[in-house]
Amino acid sequence: MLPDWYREMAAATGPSMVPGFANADVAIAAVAVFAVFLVVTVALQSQWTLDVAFVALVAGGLAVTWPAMTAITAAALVVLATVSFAHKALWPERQARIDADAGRRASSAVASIAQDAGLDPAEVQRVLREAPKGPR
Amino acid sequence: MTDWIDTALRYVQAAGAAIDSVGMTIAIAILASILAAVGGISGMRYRLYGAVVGGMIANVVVKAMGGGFMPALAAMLGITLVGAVLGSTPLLVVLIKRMGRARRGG
Repeated sequence: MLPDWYREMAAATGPSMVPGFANADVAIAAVAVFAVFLVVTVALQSQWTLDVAFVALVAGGLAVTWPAMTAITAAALVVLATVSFAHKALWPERQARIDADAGRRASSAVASIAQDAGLDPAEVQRVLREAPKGPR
Repeated sequence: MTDWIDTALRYVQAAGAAIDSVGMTIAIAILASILAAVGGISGMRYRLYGAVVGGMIANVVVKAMGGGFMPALAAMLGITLVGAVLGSTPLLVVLIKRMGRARRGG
């Protein structure tokens, strides 16, 4: 069913922890599951699908060798960036609300930690004003 | 039950032999704790996410140093547990205070 070039490429990546599957097979499956559930998470704004996406990535990483883990991480970052840009392009108001909410949470958390650490509150406010307010 | 524990300890020992550095192990544990603490700002779920990411760093280090799949899994679980337990906002406060003291003294 799979083309010969893919079977040769997969065999060259070596065996994974999953019996009968090569590193390439497990890596591609993990990234594919991550991508599907990430898209569902963004579309439906649900939390449990994000958990499934994360677990798929972790399980895939555990089952492959370290070069394949690096490839999985890079591919996951590309998928994340693509989905983020697409979400921003398709739903800009929703993205702006999410960014504002994230910025508020981060600012209050950083201010609380800085005050607990005994830093000068005026200095903390200056840094927060000058820091970038979330993704552009 | 004791066989299971014995097997787990052997895998942990193999992971330690692969890393072969107490300093690196402590550094990875601290990194996992920091990631868990930063994630914990958003809630317990993200604290666990941060700890798991730290554990995966341990996993890749053990594999890169020649450890097998099972020792790497044992390292990942151990570091994740340490990160989840230690990773908290007070840890970040302690680290920031230490950094401030080091900067003032240096």
